[in-house]
Amino acid sequence: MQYFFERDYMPKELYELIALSLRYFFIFILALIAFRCYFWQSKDKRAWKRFKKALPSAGFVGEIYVVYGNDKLKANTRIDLPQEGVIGNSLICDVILPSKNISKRQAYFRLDINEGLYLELLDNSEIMVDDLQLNKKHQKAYVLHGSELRLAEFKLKVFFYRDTGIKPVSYVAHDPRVQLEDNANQATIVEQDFANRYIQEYFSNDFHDNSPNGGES
Amino acid sequence: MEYGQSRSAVKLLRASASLNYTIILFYFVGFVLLMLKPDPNFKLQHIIIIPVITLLLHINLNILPKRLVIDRLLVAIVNFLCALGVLILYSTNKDRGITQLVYYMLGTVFMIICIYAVRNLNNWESLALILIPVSLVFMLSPIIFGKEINGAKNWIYFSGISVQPSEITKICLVIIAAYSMSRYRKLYWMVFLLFSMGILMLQKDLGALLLYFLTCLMMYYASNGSLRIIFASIGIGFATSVFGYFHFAHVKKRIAIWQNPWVDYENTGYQLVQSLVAIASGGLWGVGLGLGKPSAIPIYFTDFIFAVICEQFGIIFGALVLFMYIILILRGGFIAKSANTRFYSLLALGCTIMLSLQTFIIIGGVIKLIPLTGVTMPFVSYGGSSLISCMGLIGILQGVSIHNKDNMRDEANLALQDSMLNGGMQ
Repeated sequence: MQYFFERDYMPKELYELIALSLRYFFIFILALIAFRCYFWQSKDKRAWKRFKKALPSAGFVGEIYVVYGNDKLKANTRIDLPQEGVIGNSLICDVILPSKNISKRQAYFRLDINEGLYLELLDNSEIMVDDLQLNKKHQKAYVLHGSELRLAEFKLKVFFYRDTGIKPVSYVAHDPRVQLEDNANQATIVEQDFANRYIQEYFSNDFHDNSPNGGES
Repeated sequence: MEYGQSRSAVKLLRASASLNYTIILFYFVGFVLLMLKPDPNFKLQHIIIIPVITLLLHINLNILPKRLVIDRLLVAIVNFLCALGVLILYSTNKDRGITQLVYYMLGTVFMIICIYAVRNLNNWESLALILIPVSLVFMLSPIIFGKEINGAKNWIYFSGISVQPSEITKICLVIIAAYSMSRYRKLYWMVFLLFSMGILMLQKDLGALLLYFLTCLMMYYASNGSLRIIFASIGIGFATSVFGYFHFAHVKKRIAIWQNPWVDYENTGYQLVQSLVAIASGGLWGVGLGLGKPSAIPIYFTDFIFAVICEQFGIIFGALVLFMYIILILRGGFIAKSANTRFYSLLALGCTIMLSLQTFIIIGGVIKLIPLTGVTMPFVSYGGSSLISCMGLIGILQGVSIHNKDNMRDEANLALQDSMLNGGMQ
């Protein structure tokens, strides 16, 4: 066999002829492969876009409800809460709080399933998470369902959609209206929304142990 | 068709299978053609490459995606490029082709390891903290044990094996940068980048230095969007280039060659001139597989392999190979965009940027678009370090794509549960 391949069993001219004619075959096959790959990629991209549009949450894990705002971000506004991002006043932030008293990138957050929304300060600005004060860079806290955030003039409430596995803060389980007494108008709106959109569904499905009746007294 | 499979899934599988078998056909014909070429140095073991590469492609393209649920398109493109490297190297030197085939197998194994790592690893912080000192020490090793080749001292040799540490640490750079940028810990990646750039400058490995710097810069822009820091970094990069031009003789020489290689075409400009002549002699359709004179280009099997492709297969084929790289980059960008966390998104983006920059730098250098720097053409150039590190980057991309698929499935299930709770789909 070795003898067969070593010898000039095929004239050089014939090999050249075959190689030259197969050039077109190689180019044709590669063109076929390349365009098929390109159309596959385009198709996948379109399918992904359609899928994302069809999802009710569009990748968000909850909402931030503005209880007290300012002229630019008024009370009763809802902000979609992504799985991970930054809170700050810069336009590239995921949760934008337009105020001079908020730093460009004030805090980083990400959802830790079954733990809560992990919040970490990116500078020394102050944030109150319920009763916990954060005012040093890299200080951390977990935000729970119904937790209240205070940043400069803003007072925000964080609500998660179902199945994030995050437990509600105890006073939310006890009485969702407790923190909203000082503004009757706002309190009514928040109470209705909260009751209609979250609490009933939330507690009836996921948190039997922490249900309003069985929670902290 | 199996029970329980949707029509679209079956369609996808059929499309994927036809693409895979087209790729296998391409290489089967290519290697059979090379076997027909009379060769006085022929050894019987050379013939084994045909069944081995066919089997390897079949495993990688058809079996691996089924077992690991990885991205089929990415696998197809990467395997096409790897096998192209083996084919071209085999056409010029059969032993080199077989060695590249072994590297290709090792690269596949490393890719699978990376896929499993990305899929199952949770504590990335510890990994990043371990990788910083380990990779810096690894990068320092050529300064102590290495030899200077082509003006750069970036290789280490032990028991007959040569390794280029800067190629392997590319993966570490992407992981460290992605982790620290996603968690807003600038110190980690900045310290690592500064030290590694210092080491690369000492080794005079300016190609890798450029690659590291630009990758971090682009990743930082993607994570932060801060134009001020980007402009400042570009300024520093420009100042460093000027410094390099005046202090490194071989940088000055390469710039001069790039400006006009014909001035000294018998000495310094020989490589580039031969490369341009090879591309021109190939013309649009090429001179034919196994023909031409690739050995006229001094380092045709690593830096100038694109010139050999253009010579044998023609410029149209070369453009289509570039198109394949573009689809690879698009796919990488798509995986990065679909990722559900910042870390995975930056990880996928880092891998894509690294591969795209490497491709641009080397192909740009070969066709005289930019000055030539010593980087390899991803997946195609001869060399184990380069191929294994590129396969590692693809492994990371595949790992992220698996996470994306899991996430999409979870979201779809949630949406389905939601619609059932609300009394059916609207």
